[in-house]
Amino acid sequence: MSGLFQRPQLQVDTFQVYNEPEILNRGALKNLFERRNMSGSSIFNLNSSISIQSQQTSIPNEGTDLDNIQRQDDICTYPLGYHSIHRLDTLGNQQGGSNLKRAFEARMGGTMRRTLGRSDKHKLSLEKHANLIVSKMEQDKTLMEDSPTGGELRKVALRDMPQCLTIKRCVKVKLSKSVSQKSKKKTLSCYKMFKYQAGMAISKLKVGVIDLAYSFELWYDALKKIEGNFGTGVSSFFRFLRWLFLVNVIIALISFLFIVFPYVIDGNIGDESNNNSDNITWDLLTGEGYFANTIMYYGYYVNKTIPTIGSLTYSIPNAYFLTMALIYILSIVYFGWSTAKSYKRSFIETEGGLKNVFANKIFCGWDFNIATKAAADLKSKAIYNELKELINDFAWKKRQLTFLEKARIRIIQFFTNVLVLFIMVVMGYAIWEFLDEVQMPKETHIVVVPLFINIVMMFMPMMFSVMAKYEDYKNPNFAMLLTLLRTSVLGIVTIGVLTFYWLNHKNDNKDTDCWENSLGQEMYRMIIFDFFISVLFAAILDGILYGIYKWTKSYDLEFDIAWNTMHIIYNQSLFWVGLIFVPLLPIIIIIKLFLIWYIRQTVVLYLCRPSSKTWRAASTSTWFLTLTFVSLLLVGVFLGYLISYVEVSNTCGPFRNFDYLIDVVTEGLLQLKSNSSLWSIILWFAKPGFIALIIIGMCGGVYILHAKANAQKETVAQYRNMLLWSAKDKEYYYNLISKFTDNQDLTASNNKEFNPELHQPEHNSHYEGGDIRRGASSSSFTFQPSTSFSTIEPSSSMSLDWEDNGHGQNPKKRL
Amino acid sequence: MGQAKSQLTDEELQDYQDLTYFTKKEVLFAHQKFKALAPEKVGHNKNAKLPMSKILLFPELSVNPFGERICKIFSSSQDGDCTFEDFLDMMSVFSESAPKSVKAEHAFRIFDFDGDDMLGSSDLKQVINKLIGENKLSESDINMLVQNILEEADLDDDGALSFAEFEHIIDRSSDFLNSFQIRL
Repeated sequence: MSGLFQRPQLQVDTFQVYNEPEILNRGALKNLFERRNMSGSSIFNLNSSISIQSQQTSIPNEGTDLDNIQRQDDICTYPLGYHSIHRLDTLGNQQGGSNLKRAFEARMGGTMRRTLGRSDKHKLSLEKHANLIVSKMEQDKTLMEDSPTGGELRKVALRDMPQCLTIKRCVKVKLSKSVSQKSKKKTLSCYKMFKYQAGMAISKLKVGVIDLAYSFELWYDALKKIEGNFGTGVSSFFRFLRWLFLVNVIIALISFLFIVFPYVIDGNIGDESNNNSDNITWDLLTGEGYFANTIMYYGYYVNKTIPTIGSLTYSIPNAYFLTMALIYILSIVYFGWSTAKSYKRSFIETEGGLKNVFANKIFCGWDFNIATKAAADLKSKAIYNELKELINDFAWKKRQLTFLEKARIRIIQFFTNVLVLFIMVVMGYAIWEFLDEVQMPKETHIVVVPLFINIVMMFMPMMFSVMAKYEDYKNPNFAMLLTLLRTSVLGIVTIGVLTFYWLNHKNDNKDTDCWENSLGQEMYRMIIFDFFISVLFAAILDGILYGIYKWTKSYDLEFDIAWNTMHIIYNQSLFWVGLIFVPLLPIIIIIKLFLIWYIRQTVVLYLCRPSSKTWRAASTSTWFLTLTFVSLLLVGVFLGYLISYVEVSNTCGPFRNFDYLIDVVTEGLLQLKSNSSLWSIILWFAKPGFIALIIIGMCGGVYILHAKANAQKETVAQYRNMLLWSAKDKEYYYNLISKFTDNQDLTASNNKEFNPELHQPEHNSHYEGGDIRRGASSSSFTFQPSTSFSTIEPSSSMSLDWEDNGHGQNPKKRL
Repeated sequence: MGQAKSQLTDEELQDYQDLTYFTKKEVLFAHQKFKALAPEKVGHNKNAKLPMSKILLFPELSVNPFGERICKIFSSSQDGDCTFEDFLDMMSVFSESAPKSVKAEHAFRIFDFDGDDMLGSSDLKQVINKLIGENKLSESDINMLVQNILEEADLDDDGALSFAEFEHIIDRSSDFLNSFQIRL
């Protein structure tokens, strides 16, 4: 990086390129400058006018020119490829970074050629173009290696090259020809041979799996249709739904294979002696009656071992505990990982995102997935509105709010927040009282409770979003985030109160002596009722609203992405609470998600209209993932409390011999006695002091990383400043050269009678059209050969090092 | 798919799989889509060159304000007419698996209307006008937008965005990958 901000080295071939009118366009010129800036040489080597004149008479050799540029390109991919290289560094951790960099450089070669070869007047034939690329790629030894790695590299380099496919194919053929010509047949060692073959097989398998996955992609057509009609925002909800569905399918498989299946195959099914199945629909709805004593619930499993082959046995309690632990731990790891990945993508890599508001709106504004005229029109309208809003905001920012206005907004925000907190507390208390006080027969009770809670969970978020509108937050994304946060806190309060009530009153219920079953049934009912209220009823409500709107022609129905996503997150949290005591719950949940998919899809496609607002899909989906992960963590804390501090029932379930669930591990699996040394070590690690130490250590780590990040931010700011300065310099040189070449131009036209064939007729016009700035500078320039040369010549001996020149000094002064 | 299979040779398929972000199945699917644009023409000659008007029948391109630009950028003859290879190339760049850098390069070319390898204010104005379609913004509003974009993105203060500056913006945008995408 030391040479990064040093003076450029200008060589003759610079002018060769510039003097070729076909190539001379502003971008190519600037790119070239940027390259030379980086080349690390500090001598301002402006060769005398003779060489420049001499090149006017020589036929420009375009191949060498390109190669010259290319050579520079190899050393200095900054700034054209700076960020990509930066990205490759992270990639490099996964697989040979240097290899990838080489592939990348080769690709950059392609870019450069694209830039130069694209100009219409300078159109290269495809064949010639391909030859150029081949000759460039042939210079790279690693790329031309006749080994599987080399082949893979060539493939990646070619694939990422921004050229048209026809050229790529042509290059590929040529390359493989030249590779096979050059290759010396080396005998590979057995190990290497095996390594290569294994690598090839793995990559082949990978392609095969992707191919297979492609043909089985779930709900592909529906997603495509939704995307085409509603854009990425709505489809992000459906993608999230599909993802949760697939995760739950895996959980269902694990739970079925390791818990239910072995138990069933052992012939334990069929002793539902005390099951009364007078009303199967009712039982299905409430999870009581017939289902109370089936493999669906924890209570049905017994403490036994199943003999398998030989002396091996399958212990049901151990299997139950380990499978559940596996599911929860895997879920936490997987959701945590996805959240981190998504967070990294949308917040860290983008430096917090949302910085370049205007540029983002313009460059990422259009949703290329849109495929219908109506959606496209709406999208244009939405973009128009947003730009309008941005412009207004910009004007608004300039206008200072009066103190009164500010105070009014602040007071409203304060009071709504207090109100929301109050609502939360009241809701929690109300649910508690409802569970505790209201006396009613059991049949009514088990229906009314989930009904009440689910109605609350359906309408409160709607109320929150109405409230957010009155709070007048400047940033609509912030308002949405706040609503999401409030909704999820409400969900946590509701589920928390419910479970807490159950833990407190688990022994009150005299009908059943298995509180685990009761908790499982409660969650089952919550999930089932939620389906009827938030899915079916909501869909019907949407239908009615659609009808009313259609009739009055006043308004159109829009799909509320936030509400719908929060609903499936809430649903998932319920599932996680219930899963531990209901091994068959995953099957219920996948049926439910499956139905949700089709119901929501119908609602979207037939009743809704694309939103008039643009949805920031990437960052909001990160928030959704984070909320899901947090809810899972909270459930994890609850379960941790459950397994270590709550006594299990001793009349039902696979753990009836233990006092606490955790004893399955400590006594059952590890066979730890309370006085064994391992146990004391574990206890020592679980001491508060040790945990505090870990937390302090982590805080320290976070602090160091934070400080580092801050320092890097400062460095970035400095680099930006330097970039600006070097750009100013560049501008200066650019003007200098414009003058100089114009001068040459005029000289050449004066000498027209001597070499008429060298002067292209469109020469001048191209110069004028190429760049406004250039035009401006040339218009002010008068033809004064002697002064012009004298202006430039001294600079050839001048040392224009960055340090010499100083930051603030305008180089112009030195001349 | 059986018909499409007979039209592309195994060797071609392998080449396409190596050189694009698609698997063989997707390549075949793309060919089907290509064929659907002009069944007779492609039926006779699998590599037939379709005029831009035919390519623009592709639903995502037909409603896209940059549809013509896209055709021109990907056309190997640079006039908007596309062969199957050009079409496949286009779909591959717009596919989910194409990396951000490749997408950014093509996006830059699409937005660079005058082809000078810089996004100047005239390019930006054209992009804005295409984006808002039939709705009209006043001249001063557009100028203000352009001014703001340049303020945000133009690091070297030269009144235009070079590719490096453009990529810088794209790199920091979480939405670009989502929006610059066409599902085959």
